[in-house]
Amino acid sequence: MMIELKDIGYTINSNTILQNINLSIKKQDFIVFIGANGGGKSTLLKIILGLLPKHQGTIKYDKNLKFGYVPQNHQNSNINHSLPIDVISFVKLGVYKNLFDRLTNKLSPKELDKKALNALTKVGLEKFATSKISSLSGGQLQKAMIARAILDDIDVLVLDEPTSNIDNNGVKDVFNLLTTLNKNGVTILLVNHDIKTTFAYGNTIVHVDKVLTFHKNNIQNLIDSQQTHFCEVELIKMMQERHNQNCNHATYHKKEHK
Amino acid sequence: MIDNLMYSFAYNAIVGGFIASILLGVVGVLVGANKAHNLVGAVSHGAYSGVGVSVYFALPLFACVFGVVGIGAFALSILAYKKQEYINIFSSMFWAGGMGVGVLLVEQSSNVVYGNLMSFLFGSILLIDNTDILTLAIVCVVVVTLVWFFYDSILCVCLSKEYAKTKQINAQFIYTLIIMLSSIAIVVSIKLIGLILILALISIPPFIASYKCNSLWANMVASSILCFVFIACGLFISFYYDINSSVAIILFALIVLCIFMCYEYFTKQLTYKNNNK
Repeated sequence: MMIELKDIGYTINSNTILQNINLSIKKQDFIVFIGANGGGKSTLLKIILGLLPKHQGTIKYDKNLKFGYVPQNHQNSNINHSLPIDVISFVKLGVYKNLFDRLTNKLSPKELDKKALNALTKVGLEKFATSKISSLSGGQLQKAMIARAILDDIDVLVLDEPTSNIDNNGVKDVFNLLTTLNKNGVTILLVNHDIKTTFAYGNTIVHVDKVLTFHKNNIQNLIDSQQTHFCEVELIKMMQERHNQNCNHATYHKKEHK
Repeated sequence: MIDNLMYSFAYNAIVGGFIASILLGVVGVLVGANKAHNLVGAVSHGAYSGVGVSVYFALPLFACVFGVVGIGAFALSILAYKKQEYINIFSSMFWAGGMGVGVLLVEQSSNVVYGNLMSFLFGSILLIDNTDILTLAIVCVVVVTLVWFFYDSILCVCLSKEYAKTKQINAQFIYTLIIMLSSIAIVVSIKLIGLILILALISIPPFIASYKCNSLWANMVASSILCFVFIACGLFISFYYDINSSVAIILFALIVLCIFMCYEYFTKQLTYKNNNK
């Protein structure tokens, strides 16, 4: 196991956010966390990232695990959108800690620039490398955050609603990128509200509402990720079709109605 | 103006103004990036209680003021970091309480008063001496060196404290450092233009510069240059029109800000119209 959560709980002002969480995360997992707002999805991700150390229970990590993190991006998020920096500097953030680190790090500033540009190319933002972050749209900023998260050679990529401000084509690009990273060995932990991408890409779906409910994604292959539209309506129709195929209505429902 | 520079007080004013410009340009950007104007304002106003303690107990002025600033900046920055929702209340309390204690102690004191409330609030750049310049220079070197050394972490914390933590950066230490350096820089610059007006000099230049700069360090350099332009032009205006130098500096900065905002607005409108033709 890469990460093992045992009996994790989290309480704020006597309000239970999470309780009895047991979760084992393996290498190359693609876990999608779903559930209503306030259910504890983001809190769970932050606990895994070590941002909320005052939780109950224990977490075991593999040695030298490297995380990439794409936080929620909305107006009240704690990202300072007005900071006067360009996109490439935004992507490079956090690689060097101080001047000493900058001078002694194996990665030279030039190499880092190349890496950052490469990460921006992967998310389709290379043209905006020298633009200010305040000039980016919500979707572009989210892509820049993904580029920032994949800059390092990471083991686990944690994303909190990464496509909430991105258009359909952009969503497809982001999920294709996530799939490639996953195939290359990166574990993906993702909070998502979109049913189509959840079913099309996740191999395990976890519903979070204080406790976890696990669902193996058995219908992954039934959903065409290239199809432009898929929502709850299609899902219900699909269930209806399968129900019609598997059920002898002439006999079964008549009996039921009697 | 050149004749006036022959006088030592005018020379001191320009040299002091130059060093203070570097200092205020750097910390102004940091304060703006962390939206900490209220917090830093509270610490530097609360510093007047240090003046009160110094006068009442006949203790060294700088030690008392630095003591209050150090404790206030440390306590408020930790509170701001951990309980953001309460920071405005506690800042206001420190602001008003510190000034109240300072005024009370100065009033009740029978000792010689080093500086009255009005000079603390409004300052006088023409009265700075060599000791003030030396203090400014030392603080400027310390601040610029620390900001240079921790620049990468500072940038990360200014953008997102949460993200900084995921990168194993001690965000609380960096945030506390930013607030303490900013507060100390403001306190040593008080004699130049006073406490109330200094808040304008840490806000206006970084705000104007942020429109044209693509990095934090470029913003610091541009803010420092603007700060010096405001101080030099303000001094020039104060010489020729015989008005208070601090007031001249700030009013000149405000006029430049208004002209800049109008220019930005009309340029944007023009670009928008041209794009829609």
